[in-house]
Amino acid sequence: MRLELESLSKSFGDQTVLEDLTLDLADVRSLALIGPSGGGKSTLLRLVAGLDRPDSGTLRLNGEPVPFDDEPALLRYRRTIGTVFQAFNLFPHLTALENIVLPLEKAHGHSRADARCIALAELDRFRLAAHAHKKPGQLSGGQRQRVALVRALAIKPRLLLFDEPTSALDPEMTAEVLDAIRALSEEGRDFLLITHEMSFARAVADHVAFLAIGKILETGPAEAVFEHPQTPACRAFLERILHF
Amino acid sequence: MKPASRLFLAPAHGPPAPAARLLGWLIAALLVAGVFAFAFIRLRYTWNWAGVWEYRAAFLRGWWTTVVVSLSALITSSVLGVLVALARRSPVLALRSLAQFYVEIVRGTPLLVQIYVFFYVVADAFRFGNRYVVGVIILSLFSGAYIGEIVRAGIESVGRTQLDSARAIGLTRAQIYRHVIFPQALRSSLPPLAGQFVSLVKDSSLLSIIAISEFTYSAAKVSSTTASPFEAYLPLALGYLVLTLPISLWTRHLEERHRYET
Repeated sequence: MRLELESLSKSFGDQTVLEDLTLDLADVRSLALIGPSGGGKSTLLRLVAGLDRPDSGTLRLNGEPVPFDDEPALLRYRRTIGTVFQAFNLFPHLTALENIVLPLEKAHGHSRADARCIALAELDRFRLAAHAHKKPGQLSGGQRQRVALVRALAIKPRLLLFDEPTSALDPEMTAEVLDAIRALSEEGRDFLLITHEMSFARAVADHVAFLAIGKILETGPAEAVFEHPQTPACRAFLERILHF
Repeated sequence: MKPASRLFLAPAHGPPAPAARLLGWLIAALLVAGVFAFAFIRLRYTWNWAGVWEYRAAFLRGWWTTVVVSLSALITSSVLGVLVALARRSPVLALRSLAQFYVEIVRGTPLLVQIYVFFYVVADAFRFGNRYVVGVIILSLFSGAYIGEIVRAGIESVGRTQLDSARAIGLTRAQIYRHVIFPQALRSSLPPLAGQFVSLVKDSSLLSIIAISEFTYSAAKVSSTTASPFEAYLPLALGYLVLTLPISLWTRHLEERHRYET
């Protein structure tokens, strides 16, 4: 993918969350956003997802600007992106299968039978077929996140977004979700990931962007950023987080 | 737990034994029956069931009118309630205010006054003759305000991340309401809705003041004709219970069906 940000700004009230971001990442397959909490990572991801509008600036994905000012076009844009949030992704009143069928049928025009077919095949691929008819309340946290991932994936998105998909999980479940993401990474899918699991970011992302206080302070290939952070802020952040 | 207390107390986990439940039910029923039996025996009242029995057809007609009026009002007020809830969340500010005025005025004034004003002033001005239709409209307007607030609370109880997820998968606004918000809002709204529907059935009795010959109106007439108030009003209470208990049971059944953990 190619991700271009051009003086992108966003504030909530008098709090500036993203300040004049400019960035051009070409030929990036997987990008990890790292940095301290409140640094603007989630806000940037929500802009890329087409869920929020920036106050100013443009955001281009693969050369096309995200149509923030045109609601119908923005809706069509959102349908090409798969997003997985921290938690509560799934609709609690629908089974795992229905959760995956819903966007396929209602947003992508598949017939119901078709949508079920696609959903079951994807569930099977992630060893979730046995849970297809369970509601989210009957699934473990890790299973819920994997079903959410399958839902995001089933629509064949051009880009997957993960907003701290494991931060609400215990270590064992974290491993099961990270395994699923790693499998996608090995398939060569484009994704953008926010995570606090640095060793994982290092293993699956080929590019890293370090965000703090609303600015992108450092970007580069994952190896380079983790081995030789260039800015003091990034170095301090990595030292603090890798301390244990 | 000791065997004796197991008969009377619910276990800390899981449902109580069927025998214990039956025993509890029996004790409660006996207590209620005992209090009323004692009170009625002290009354030294000469019952005149035969006199009232003569008017059973009037009772039935009145009861049926109550069924039809309540059921019609229940349906129209539900539709109205949903519209009001949507209007209160509408981007059009005038619509929001209109819905709010409506809710506050209806909830803040007695139904009695609303019936008089609507029947003698509004309906009259618009040359609306059929008092039964007017009755249904008044009752719907009254109940619709409460249902609107119940539905609004239900809609607002749906979490923010649910809306984000729904938007992220590319559903339109209408689809989000249809497939994500309403099913979840319904679940949290069911208990208060059941209460509101039961109230609606009972509130229909006030329509007797504009001479709609529903159940209460019939009972009052029989009571004054036969001079046997208890024989007229006790069947009245029973007749309302026959309508309201199924509503409670039905909504409880729906609650069970829509149960899921969040």
